Amino acid sequence: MKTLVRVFSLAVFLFIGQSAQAVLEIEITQGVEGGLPIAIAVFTGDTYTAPEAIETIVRNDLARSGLFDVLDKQRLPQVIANPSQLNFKAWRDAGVESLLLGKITQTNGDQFRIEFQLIDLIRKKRVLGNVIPADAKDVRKVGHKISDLVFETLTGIRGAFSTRVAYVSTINKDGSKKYVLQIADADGYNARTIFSSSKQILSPAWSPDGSRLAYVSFESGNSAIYIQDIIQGTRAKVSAKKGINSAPAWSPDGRQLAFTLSASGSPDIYILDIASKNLKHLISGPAIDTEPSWMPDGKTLLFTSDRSGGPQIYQVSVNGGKAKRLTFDGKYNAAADVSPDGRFIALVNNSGNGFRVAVMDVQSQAMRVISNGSLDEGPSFAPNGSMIMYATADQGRGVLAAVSADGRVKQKLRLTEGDVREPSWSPFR
Amino acid sequence: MTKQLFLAFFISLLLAFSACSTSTKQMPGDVISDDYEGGDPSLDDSAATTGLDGEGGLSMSSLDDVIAQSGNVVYFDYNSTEIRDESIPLIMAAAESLTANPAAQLRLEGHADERGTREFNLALGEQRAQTVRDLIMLQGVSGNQLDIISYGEEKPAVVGSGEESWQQNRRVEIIQ
Repeated sequence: MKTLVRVFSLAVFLFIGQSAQAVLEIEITQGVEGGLPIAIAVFTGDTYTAPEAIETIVRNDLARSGLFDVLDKQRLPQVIANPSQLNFKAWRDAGVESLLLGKITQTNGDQFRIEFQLIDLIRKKRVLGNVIPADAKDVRKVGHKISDLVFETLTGIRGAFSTRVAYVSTINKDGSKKYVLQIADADGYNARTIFSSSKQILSPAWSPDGSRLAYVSFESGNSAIYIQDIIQGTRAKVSAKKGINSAPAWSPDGRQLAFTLSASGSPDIYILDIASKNLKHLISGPAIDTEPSWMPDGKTLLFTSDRSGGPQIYQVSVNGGKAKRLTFDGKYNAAADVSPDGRFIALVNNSGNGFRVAVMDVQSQAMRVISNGSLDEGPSFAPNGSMIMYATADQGRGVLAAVSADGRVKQKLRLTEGDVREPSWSPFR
Repeated sequence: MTKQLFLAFFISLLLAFSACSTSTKQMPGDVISDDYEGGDPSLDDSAATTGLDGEGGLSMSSLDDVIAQSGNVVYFDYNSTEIRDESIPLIMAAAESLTANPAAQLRLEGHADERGTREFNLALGEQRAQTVRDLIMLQGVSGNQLDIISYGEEKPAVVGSGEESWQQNRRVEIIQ
């Protein structure tokens, strides 16, 4: 299979709160032929004072999804404002089957109207057309929205480009370390800090409705689990027992939180009913039991246990009972994250070549390694199951990477500031 | 039984004997035969007893001395919670110090290297600290004198990848 290696590199200056400028960079480090061939035309019309062209945002979104073969900007045969000017042959000769056209009209000050249409070049037919009014500052939102609509029209799968990612970063400033919990757009842009501490932060997890984050903070000296409302900024301490309080995971209905406590002497899995505060000791025993993850039906949990020697993934009913071992390939399998349809499990695997992200088919138990670092960890599925975000080391520094679920397309999201890790992909908005 | 544990038990026994040396009270499990007690020593001139206590016994240094000499850190093998021989003197000195000062407390901070998942490493760090705690408690120290916290891989002693860094990060720090 011929692999195209492309690097789309672009940088944009953002202001994060009142802090200094940070440069974000998107790199598509590996692509492959065989995606849906599409071209994103230059959007014509009025100029606007946004840092980046909408079509560039859409082009990058679709390219990094792994399902599209996006025509390079330099190879666009035509600049067209109106489909009536469309030279079908020129676009077909460029190898394209679908074409996105767009037009921007300034309506008032910073207000714009963005019209776009998706053309099926084979059937010579418009398959999608829409108008979005927007403020210039919302240009990235508009770009992701268009990407979502194009993605869904052509693949039948709901687009997840308008989603976000939460992660932890360490920033060294003036000789002291600061730990920050941040939320950025799923492509790494628009990062905002929602919690900052001089002590360690771990394991952010989105509530199913996307309104809250559960995470672990060492701010009180020991680990404790908090739930923070990301809009209000308010938060509640939900567990601060003796020993470890960690690895929070929301039930699919958002009413329960599974996590790890070692108050009994060894790390065990517990389930907390958030409203009633009723705490159930689900998994016990002298081994390490941690990293709970709910199956989408809410009836069973996956977790990591070293009861057999090394860490492996097990499955257990939320009502307790005997746990069933799921992983047998490799000496280290941990940190399972289940795909939204429940068919696949992303996990950290070590079969002798380092710690890598692998995807296991739940039915066949076949496992495929989809990352190629040596210290990769923290896999988190996109809410549409099409991609997986994980943490990897890049020249000694932690960065986030996204890989298509089939492993074919990889992308690094890079913040120039900080050592980044622990990604958690948000649900749909 | 592993070599390390055997050594730990052996040293524990030595300490137990040393603690009991001024007492003639019989301990449960001690096997003492009365048959030859007070018997005629001339029956066997070659018989001689040597006390385990004193010059011939284990010389214990104060915790401060041990820490000043070789540091306050217990190191571990990869993915292991087993205490190595080299760390026994430090742990024994910690136990002695706590026995001598029942009001004193020590904090055991468990850590892991960067390999593997963060949550599993948090658990691993705690298990390492617990192993050190258990060995100290085996010397008769109260659990109330020991506080455990695990930072997993979140607080490395040295930054960097490779066994040299990793080895320094797989540790339990004994903090006074």
